[in-house]
Amino acid sequence: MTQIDSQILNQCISGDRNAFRVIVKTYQRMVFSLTLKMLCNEDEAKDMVQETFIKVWQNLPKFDPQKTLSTWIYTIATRLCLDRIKLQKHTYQLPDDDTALRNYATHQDGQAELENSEWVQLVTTLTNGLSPKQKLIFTLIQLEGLESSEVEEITGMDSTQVKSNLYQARKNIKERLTKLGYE
Amino acid sequence: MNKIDNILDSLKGKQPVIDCEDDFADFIMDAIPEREESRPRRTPIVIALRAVTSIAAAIIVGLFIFQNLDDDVEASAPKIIKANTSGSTIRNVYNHCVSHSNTLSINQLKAMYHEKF
Repeated sequence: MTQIDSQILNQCISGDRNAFRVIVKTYQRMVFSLTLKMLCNEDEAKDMVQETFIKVWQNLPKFDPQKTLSTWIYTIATRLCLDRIKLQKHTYQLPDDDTALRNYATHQDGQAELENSEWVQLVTTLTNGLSPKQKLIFTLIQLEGLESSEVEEITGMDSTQVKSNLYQARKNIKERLTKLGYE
Repeated sequence: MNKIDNILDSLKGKQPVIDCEDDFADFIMDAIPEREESRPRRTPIVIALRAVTSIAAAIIVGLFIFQNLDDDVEASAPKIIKANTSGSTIRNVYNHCVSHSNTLSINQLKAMYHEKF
C-alpha cells in the first residue's frame, strides 16, 4: 500500500485541498473496492466513497500519525458501510443465476478483469445470506486480502471474533455454492 | 467442476477498476467542504493567567464574605462588649445578659467570647 508522507498530511491538516487530492487519488480505488463489495451497488458505492473522504477530511486533524493511514480510512469506510446496510436493511435477492461467478470460474487464469457489474453479481452470489459482520470480515480478509491483525484494528473485534465470523462466512458460502454445483 | 477454494483464493486482493480516476477524484473533491478556520490555540501563558486570576477572584470573594460575617457579630452585641470589661467568663457574660433581659443565645455569646476575650 502506498504511504502518504507526513508533509502531505500536515498540508491537508492545514487545509490544503490540493494535498488532499493526492490522498484521494491514492486511496480512492481501495475505498471503492470495499464499498462496492459491501453495498453491491455501484452508485451507492461511489456515494459512499465520497462520504468516506469527507469524513477523512473533517477528521484528519485527529488522525494519529503513529497509525497507518490506509487502516484508518478503511475503519471509516467500514463503519459507514455497516451503518448504511443497517439503515436500509438491505435484503439481497438470490440471483436467478450465477453467471458472473461461473464465467469467472471457467476463465480462471488469474488475469481476468471484472467489470463493476460483474463484481456486484459475483459478490452478491457469494455473500448472499451472510450477516453484515460476516460479510464485512469475509470482504476484508478474503476479497481485499488484508491481514487478520489489520482487520481486528479496523473492526474493533478481537481475533476470536474475526476467526469465528470468517469461519461462519466461508461455511455458509461453501454450502450454497455446493448446491449450485461447485465443489 | 470448480473448486470453491480456488475461486475464493483467486479473488483475493483483486479490486474493481475505476474507469477514469481523475474524474472520480474530481467527483470526490467537489463534495469536500472548506475547512473552518481553526480557533487560535490557547497558549500555556493564557491558561496560567486564567487560573491565577480565577483563584485570586475566589480568594477576594471569600475574604469579602468572611469580613461581612465578622461585622455582623460585632454589630449584634454592643451591650455585651460593654458588660464584659471586667474579664469575666462566658458563664458570667450569659448571666449578665439574662439579668438585663438580653435575649442573645448562648451560641452567639460563645462566638462573641472567642472574638473578644
